[in-house]
Amino acid sequence: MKSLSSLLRRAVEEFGRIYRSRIVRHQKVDSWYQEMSNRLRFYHTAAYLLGARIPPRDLTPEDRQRIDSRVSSQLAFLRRFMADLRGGRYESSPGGGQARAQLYAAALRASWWEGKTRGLPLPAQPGDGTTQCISRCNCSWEIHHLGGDDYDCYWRLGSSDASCQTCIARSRRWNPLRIRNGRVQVTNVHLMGFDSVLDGWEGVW
Amino acid sequence: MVKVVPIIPPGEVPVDIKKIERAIQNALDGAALGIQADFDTTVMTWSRRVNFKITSPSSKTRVVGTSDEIYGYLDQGTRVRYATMARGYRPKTSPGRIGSRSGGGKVLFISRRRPRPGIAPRHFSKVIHKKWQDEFPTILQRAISSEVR
Repeated sequence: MKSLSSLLRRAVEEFGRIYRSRIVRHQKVDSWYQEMSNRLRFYHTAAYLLGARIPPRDLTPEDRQRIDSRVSSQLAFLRRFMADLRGGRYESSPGGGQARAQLYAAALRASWWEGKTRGLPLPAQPGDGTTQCISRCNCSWEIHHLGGDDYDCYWRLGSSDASCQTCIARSRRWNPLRIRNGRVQVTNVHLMGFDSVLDGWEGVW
Repeated sequence: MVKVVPIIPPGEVPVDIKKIERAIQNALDGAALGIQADFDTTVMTWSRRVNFKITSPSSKTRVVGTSDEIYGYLDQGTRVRYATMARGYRPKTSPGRIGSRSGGGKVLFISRRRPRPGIAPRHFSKVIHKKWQDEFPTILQRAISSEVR
């Protein structure tokens, strides 16, 4: 995770720098979009490789498809950002625009987990945007390999006290999420309520 | 209630059908599990216990839902409401939002002689369905990748 943290820091700095150089100084939205999309592809690939602990030459076509899937979802957000920039949304507050650009770094976490859990048919990844906390998610997968194609996968809450409701629900439901003989197992356990985990919960959504 | 059905193109596929079949089943179950957790968040602050079950009417379908009547009223909305709330009442859920907050206030009385404007539909099912429909290609891709590792 240490290597991921340094990658995230580097991406935050670079996305901020690209925003300042292309938008704040020159208002070149097209070239900003082009450079950002190139760097997003680079960083998501790097995060995936770090998670999977493999060199670039070991990337399979399936790995590339998983990376592409993450990058294309980010590019959809980037296009919306571009439309906002064209509409002049951040002209009076360049700091807000830069902060939004830097948020793209947080999504690298999901690519890292894609690499880390490579080969497992999991329903979601921490930071993939399917939780209320979106890409700020600090949760993690704890994978127990039981031999063969059997795994117990635990959705663990992040160390932060402010876990969102989706993450809390997943940590209760996917505790563990069982994969047996390569098949995801569906269980309909009746949850006893969330009272204990929700003490003092003010809401993140 | 949310129903997930994959669209599979007809014709020959030059791959291991058993593996693809397993990937599809995993993707369907994965999406259903994600939907189930999302539904859980909509009742998380309720004192009433609502359980969401995943059923599989056919090998290509998963249905996630609950038989709870009150939840149905909130999800779909009602034409009239017979409950009268105290001043300052704050509902725990909002239309179009997946989740629930603490809310506040209480029900003063319930009377059929005092009908009120109906409950605004929260559309939990619709919003959750849309979210996971968009997410399904990613889940399916992940499931297929796991078969060809």
